[in-house]
Amino acid sequence: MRNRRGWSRFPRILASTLPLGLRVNNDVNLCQAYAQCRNVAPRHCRIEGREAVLYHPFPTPGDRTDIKRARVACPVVATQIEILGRDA
Amino acid sequence: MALGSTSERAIVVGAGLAALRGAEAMREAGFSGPLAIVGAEPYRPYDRPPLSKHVLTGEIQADATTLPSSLGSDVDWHLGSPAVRLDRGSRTLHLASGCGLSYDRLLIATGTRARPWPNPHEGQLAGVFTLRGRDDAVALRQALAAGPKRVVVIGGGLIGCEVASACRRLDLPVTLVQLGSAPLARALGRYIGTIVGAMHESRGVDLRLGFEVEWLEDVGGRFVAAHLTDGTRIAADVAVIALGAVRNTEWLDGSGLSFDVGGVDCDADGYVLDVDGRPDPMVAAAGDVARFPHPLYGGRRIAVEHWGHAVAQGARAGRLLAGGNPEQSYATLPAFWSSQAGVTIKSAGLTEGADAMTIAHGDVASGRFLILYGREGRCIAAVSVDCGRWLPAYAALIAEEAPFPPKGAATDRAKPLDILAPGLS
Repeated sequence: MRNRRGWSRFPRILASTLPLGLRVNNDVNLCQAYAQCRNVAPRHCRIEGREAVLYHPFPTPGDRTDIKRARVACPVVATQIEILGRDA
Repeated sequence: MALGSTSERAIVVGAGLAALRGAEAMREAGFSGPLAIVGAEPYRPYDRPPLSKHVLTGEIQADATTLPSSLGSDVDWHLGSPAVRLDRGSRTLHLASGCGLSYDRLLIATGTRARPWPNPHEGQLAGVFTLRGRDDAVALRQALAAGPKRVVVIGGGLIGCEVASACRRLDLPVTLVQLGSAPLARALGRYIGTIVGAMHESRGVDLRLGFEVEWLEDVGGRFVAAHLTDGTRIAADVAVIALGAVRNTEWLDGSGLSFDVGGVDCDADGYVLDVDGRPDPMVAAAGDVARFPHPLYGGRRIAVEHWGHAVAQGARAGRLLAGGNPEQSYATLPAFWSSQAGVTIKSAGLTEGADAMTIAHGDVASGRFLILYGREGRCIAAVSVDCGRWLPAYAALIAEEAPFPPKGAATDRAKPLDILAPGLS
């Protein structure tokens, strides 16, 4: 239950209330649970059980650096990120 | 066949994952003309996998599932109004809103919907749910958060098993009723289904295998119990109907295209066939709704309802419609994953017709293993349980139709592999 406790610390946010932010999507077919994303962005990525990587799909704008680092750290490049408000 | 002129119009019918990746691929391939995306739901494309997992447990809000996208503001979204008719003669797509959109290229990606409970009255009772879209997930989440005394899940496929898992994470009593002899047996076989079923039971899921729900009892329009064919009554507040999906093809009635409840037929390039079997070079299809000849399965037409398939085939269809260079036949290996009972299950290839299997890595007792399936002496599928890092090696064997059992492959066995029966009937 360690991971459940950790996950519950994630900010519970409503996407529609965010004018700016990130959207994150992880291709679980590619993901092999190397967990580098958790190592560099522990507030946003969790390992649940032995192989399930969980990530917050809609982190806050202030988390941008962490999320970008997580994407670069992934050995199988499983993470896709969209930066919202880019055109605004 | 290229969308050369910017005055040419493209429409993507559907607003799910395949539709989104198709539209993005059109733009990335250089198509700069008017692009419309038509969706039955009022939402921009969102990711479905969390809906049966962390949205139900409340860890992710349903509206946080909106997918990342490279699309800009030059897209005409028609959301909340499904396509109702396709007139290929005048190249017009008619929407439920009454709006008619003309097209030069059309991508069909209307996907599937949850198969409804066969009794319409019972299916509409308060407390009875299906799970396919975002609104479904929100409604079911609310019902689970209210603390029902028991949840009955009808159907032991991927969605049914994930819902049962979510219920246990919420510490809710849950009964899973399945006609088959093991959960997931239809997709993965009885052997692995029995193992995963035991994992669910150890986490507190009440499994009723070999039973069918005959009817749903209500009091004043509210579901109160499920009755099994043997007369057993299971009192519960919530029933989740997880009996698979139905493809959204009815709107193609009268279009002259070849389709039925199993999907819309495509050729090897991805163009949709008309009723005479001729491809329409203006129309392609992708994702759950597309039935296409897969070279790995003898060119037999199959429809694949997997996340990764929607991504790969959607993008390919988008490039095709945008006039990209000819590509090889679509041969991406079907692959899916599921999180349930505390483990991650991943699959590559299709197990259908498997006549043998072997535990190629790990062991069942440790809860981490990989099973390789064979048919007529060839590798056809692999399924990993908390053993995903080994899956790509076996996916490669499957893609090249390597001999089964594999010789000299990356197995961790000192002795010859035991050949077992997969239990696929």
